[in-house]
Amino acid sequence: MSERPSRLFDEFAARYARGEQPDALEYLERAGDQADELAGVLEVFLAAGGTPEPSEEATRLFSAWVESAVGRQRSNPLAILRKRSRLSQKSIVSSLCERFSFEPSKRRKVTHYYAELEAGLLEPRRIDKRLIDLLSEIFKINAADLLTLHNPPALAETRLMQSSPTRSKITSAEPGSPEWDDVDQLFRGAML
Amino acid sequence: MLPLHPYVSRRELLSYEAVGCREQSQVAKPAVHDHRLDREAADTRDQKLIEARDYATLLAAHWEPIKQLARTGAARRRDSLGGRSPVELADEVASRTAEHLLRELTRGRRYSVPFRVVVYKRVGWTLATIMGETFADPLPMYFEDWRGPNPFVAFEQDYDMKQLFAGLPLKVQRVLSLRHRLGLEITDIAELEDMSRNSVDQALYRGYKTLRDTYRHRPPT
Repeated sequence: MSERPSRLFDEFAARYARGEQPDALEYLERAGDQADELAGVLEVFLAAGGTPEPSEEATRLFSAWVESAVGRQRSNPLAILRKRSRLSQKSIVSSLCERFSFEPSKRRKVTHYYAELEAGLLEPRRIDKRLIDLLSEIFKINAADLLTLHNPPALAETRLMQSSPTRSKITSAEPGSPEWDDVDQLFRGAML
Repeated sequence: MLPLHPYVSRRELLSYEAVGCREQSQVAKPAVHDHRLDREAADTRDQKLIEARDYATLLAAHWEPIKQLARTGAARRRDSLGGRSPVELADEVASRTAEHLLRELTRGRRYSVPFRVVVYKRVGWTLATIMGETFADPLPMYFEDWRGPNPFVAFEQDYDMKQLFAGLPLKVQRVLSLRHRLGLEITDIAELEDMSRNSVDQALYRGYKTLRDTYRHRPPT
């Protein structure tokens, strides 16, 4: 059963004002056949109101993203974030293996996958939410936003192209094949 | 008159009523701290960030509206997505919008309208481009502050104008709306619409002529 647009708008506006990130799609879904009416109100509210001060997370993320596109560092945003956090790829891989209890024999595969993730070679929508949450935790950003944004930014693609690794054979198992395992599932298994 | 929320401005409430949500909510309004800046303060902040070339903070501040506007637009087109999910379309729109804005800013593009206006327009254009549509309505009602003493009068006048322009070609409608509903200068319209000043003048001339011819013997109702 659909909910009244006025009530939904109140709820959305209150959450937005508190600095939360309410999802317009979720509210429009709840509005049912009155979704267009609510959409009109939300557009006015979002477009005409003062924008919030950006959160530290958002500023950190965009700082790396903009740097990747136009700055001096020839790196992808995730690599810039990692370097700014003074972390090595090795330490991130260790965190991943530990968090997801991967067998030591799979460490090499995780290393390859993480390098491909940093290089923007993985399909963002296939990345498991558990991995997105862990990246958010490590880098103190909203990693889902980083994956929504082009990674690397199209502006930087040309200059980063030469330094990017290509997909490895070790990370190319097909879903359902005998080679497909829990590591593949984490990096490429969402929405399958 | 609707009651004022602690977190929703009078202008927003008015627009809320204007689009048809007239019923008064019975939900108790929580006393919350409003994280949004006053509109004018936010516009000033944006201008300073552009001058300081701090595009990261600027885009970070506008990322949430970009995302949610893209999602709202995608949801409106739910029936014509051809198997694509609204989230997928919205993500592409948001991403391409951020890229486009960054590209413009880094090339030295400067805007004579508030950055939030540019953001709104860019999201609409990106959606329209991806969906192969024409972006008809330049700005939502009440986008800009009306300086008139009575916002209800301003609304009625604006509504009349929208009706008046409705039969004109889309491009002419856009230019006339920006000029007369939002009161933008011709140079501002040229910049916002990626047109030359001369093209704006011509669009206005064509619009005035059509309106004159249409209503010469029949005043608008």
